[in-house]
Amino acid sequence: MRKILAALMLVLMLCSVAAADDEVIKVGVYNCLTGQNAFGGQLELEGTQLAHTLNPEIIGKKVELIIVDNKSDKVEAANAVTRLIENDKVNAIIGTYGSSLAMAGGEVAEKAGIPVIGTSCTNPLVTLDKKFYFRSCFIDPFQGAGAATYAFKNLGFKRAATLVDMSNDYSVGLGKFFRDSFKKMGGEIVSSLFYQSGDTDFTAQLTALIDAQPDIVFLPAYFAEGAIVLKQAKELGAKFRFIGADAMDNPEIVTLGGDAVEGFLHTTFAYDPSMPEMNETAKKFTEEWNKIHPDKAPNVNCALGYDCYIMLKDAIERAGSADPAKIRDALETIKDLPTVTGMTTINATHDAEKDMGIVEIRNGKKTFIGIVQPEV
Amino acid sequence: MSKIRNLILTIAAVILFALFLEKAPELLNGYWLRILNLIAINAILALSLNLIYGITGMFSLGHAGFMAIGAYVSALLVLSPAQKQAMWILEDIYPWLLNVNAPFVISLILAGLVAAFFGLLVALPVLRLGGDYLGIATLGFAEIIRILITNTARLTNGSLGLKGIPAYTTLFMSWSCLGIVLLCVVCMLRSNFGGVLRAVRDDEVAARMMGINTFKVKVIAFTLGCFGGGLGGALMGNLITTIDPRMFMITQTYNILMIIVVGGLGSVTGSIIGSVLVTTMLEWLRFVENPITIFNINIPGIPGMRMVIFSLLLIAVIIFRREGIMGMREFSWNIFFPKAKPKIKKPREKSETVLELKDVKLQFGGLAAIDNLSFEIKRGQIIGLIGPNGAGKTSAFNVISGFYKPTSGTIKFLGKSIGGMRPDQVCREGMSRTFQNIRLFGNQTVLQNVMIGSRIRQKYSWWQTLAPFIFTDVIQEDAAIKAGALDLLTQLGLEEFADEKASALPYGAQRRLEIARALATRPEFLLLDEPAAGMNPQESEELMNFIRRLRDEFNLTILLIEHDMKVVMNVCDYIQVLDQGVHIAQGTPAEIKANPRVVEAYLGAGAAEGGAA
Repeated sequence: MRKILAALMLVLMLCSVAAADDEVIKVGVYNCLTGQNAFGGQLELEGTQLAHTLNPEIIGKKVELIIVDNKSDKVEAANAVTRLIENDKVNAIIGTYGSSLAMAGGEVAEKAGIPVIGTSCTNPLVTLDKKFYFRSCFIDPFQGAGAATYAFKNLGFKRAATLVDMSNDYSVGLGKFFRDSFKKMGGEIVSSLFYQSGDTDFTAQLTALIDAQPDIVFLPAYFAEGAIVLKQAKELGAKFRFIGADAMDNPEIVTLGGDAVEGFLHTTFAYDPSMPEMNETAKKFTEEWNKIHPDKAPNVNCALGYDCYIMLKDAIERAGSADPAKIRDALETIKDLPTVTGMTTINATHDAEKDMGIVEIRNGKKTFIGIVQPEV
Repeated sequence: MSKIRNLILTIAAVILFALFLEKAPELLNGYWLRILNLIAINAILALSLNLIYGITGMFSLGHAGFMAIGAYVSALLVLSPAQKQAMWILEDIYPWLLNVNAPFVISLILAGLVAAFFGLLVALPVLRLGGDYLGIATLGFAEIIRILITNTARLTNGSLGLKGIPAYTTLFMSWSCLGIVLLCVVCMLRSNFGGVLRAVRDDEVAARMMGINTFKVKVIAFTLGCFGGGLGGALMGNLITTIDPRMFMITQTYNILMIIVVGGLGSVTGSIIGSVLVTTMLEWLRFVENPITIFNINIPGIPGMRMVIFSLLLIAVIIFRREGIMGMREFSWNIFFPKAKPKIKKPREKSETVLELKDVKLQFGGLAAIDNLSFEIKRGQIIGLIGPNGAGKTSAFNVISGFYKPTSGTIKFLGKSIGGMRPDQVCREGMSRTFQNIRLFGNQTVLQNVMIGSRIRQKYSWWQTLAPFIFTDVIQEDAAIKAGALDLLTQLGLEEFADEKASALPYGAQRRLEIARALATRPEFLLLDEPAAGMNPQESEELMNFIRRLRDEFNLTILLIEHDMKVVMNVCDYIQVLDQGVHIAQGTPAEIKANPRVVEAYLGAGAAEGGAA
């Protein structure tokens, strides 16, 4: 038995030897393909892969995608980025869903001097003091302020509450930025409640919210808990509305949520298949996506995965080289680049400045209802 | 001779490995350096959990919590005030915390100490539980720590975590830490205190009768393990450079548990091998997730595939080697050399009431296991305690030796009241016992079993065993104890088995070993619970001589429970008879034989009348 195992391992080891090629631009992708964030990571990877299929060559060189899983785990994320840089010698990296993972990977890339474009890591700390980390998404303060602006200005609500996942950095950050912004505009925060990831019973918090009588509740939840909150709120007969953030942007929200999600709002990136007026990039993306995945509508994660590749392509073309340092310099000067999620400009802190969209579930359908200018 | 040889080999191996680490940055790329680093950290974590679980036998699932404590303590100490200011974006950091700063090495030590302190806090209430309950309690504790960290944002930055921690965990740092931990653990486990730890795992009851305060020993081992957990967590944080509470979920503990189970519970070597295997395999198996071409067949990469293969390999290990790769064995240079004959050293040596019971009563609810038992035992006597099944003989033993607290009444041993003392305290007063169902420390050698019995006579403290080269008392005392133990084995005719596992001994030898172990505590008074059980007539004949010899050679007073009437009548000077908890008779063997109440108790009322008639 032991000999067979040993032989098996030897065969596996021989298979793993790969050849190197100078005429190829190597782009590493590290994302959560397994583990608790796999749903988001998978979608982003598919977006990136789509962009690669459509643009297999940049500046006349073949592009090779090297994909590694980070298991939604920090140690693995750092290992994955090290592997991409040291073993695969990549020119640039795309990833990842999950800010804490991006922080672990970012430290490695920073030291090695390899540029990384983050997909949906929205925590301000990700790019703080980093020369080599960029992202295709806007950050939490911007989005929190956007939700507050929409609730206060567009909907005219004066009383708001927040229901925040205490153990999730994304949720905690958004909740705080929403409250700050809403109060600054002159609104009142009537209640600020918490839960923990993995909770399944929210009736206590919802009952307290019903007593506090807000007009709207900001729910910066992940989809798993968010869907349950909405369902239980409906059962308890809550009268207030809910507004969530981009983590609630999931193609399956209607099938899973049923009539409990009717009227639910969420901020997101300025892309949704239901958008009436798409830019050219978004149109092309939607068309091509539907060809490959006829039974699955694209969402913002797919779009962001796609956009990262487009940003990288733009940077390499303008730099005229796949040298990591030159790519980095070019990334810093991205301005008004047409991407799926609107015009992208990289600002001084390496975050993407782009429009923010609002989606509402109307008549059982995700409906893109417009763009907001957050008052930060 | 072999000792010096092994020492030289060990030092040579360490130097070679140090040279390799020195050259590693040139030989290996950054990826493998990172893995090498992770191996050292995982090994520290595995060793510390193994100390708790594999060696001392406490099933703890709280390691991730202690890692979290260590990681946060170290990170908060090494981060610069400017970094802290920039990171606390949700709530303000405590002003006092802002300027707290310490060098990395100090932060590592403090990380270990704070984790150990929390470990101690947990241990004191929780270690009174055992087995599964302990697992659940420690699991709960780790969760509490995580939630506390999440909710004390001013201290820890809550769920946002910390980032930009300086990458101080160099190859040199992590491997030196592992080196020190390894040295301490190996030294401790080789000392007699290490034997005590294993004894607590193998049979806590017997260990207590060897005079060992098992609760204290467990608390020490648990706290030391927590120190290792904190140290490992701190190194991990400084390697990844960013930490957050979700990093320290239960899966983190499972990872470490996996390493020690694969390597072998209770084996230090196993923990090292396990961490090398698990750390490298997980990374190395990544290629199965990439598209592979074998013989022109394209296999697309499937994310998660390596976890499947890895799990299959784990299952294979568990099926084919349930005890893990090393089991409980350790690496030794001796495997490369033919075995030398063990040398046995020879010589050594050295009208009042010993025990007095007065109106002793032991009640379980409504049932009186012992009812008003009173008797005295004089020095040098061999006393038999007999009675039919359920008469309360073993209960009486347990009350005398401290396992049960008497409900009422007094027990005086050598003039001192011992009612309510713990077994280990009673043992220190000069009393020892054997058990009806033999309770040896089965996984340890015969010699180790006897040495554990000698632990109560050793003066050194547990912490000295961490660095025996500084506290040479440890080495000297252990050597003396070993010589004494070998003598004792020779006297009882067990010397040929000295290096064999106790559980591998023939039955009769196990009985004798249990007595040898009891004698190692140097008792004045010995309790033997059914020494002749399972023996044939010839063996019980030998046993009678053996018991008499024990009394004479070791100046003992002996109380024995026995069903074999031939043994009782021949060997005992005086006999006490119990029936259903009641003391029904006492006297010389001849008197007892003629006592109708005794015959009645054994054979029923009719038989007694018939016998009298």
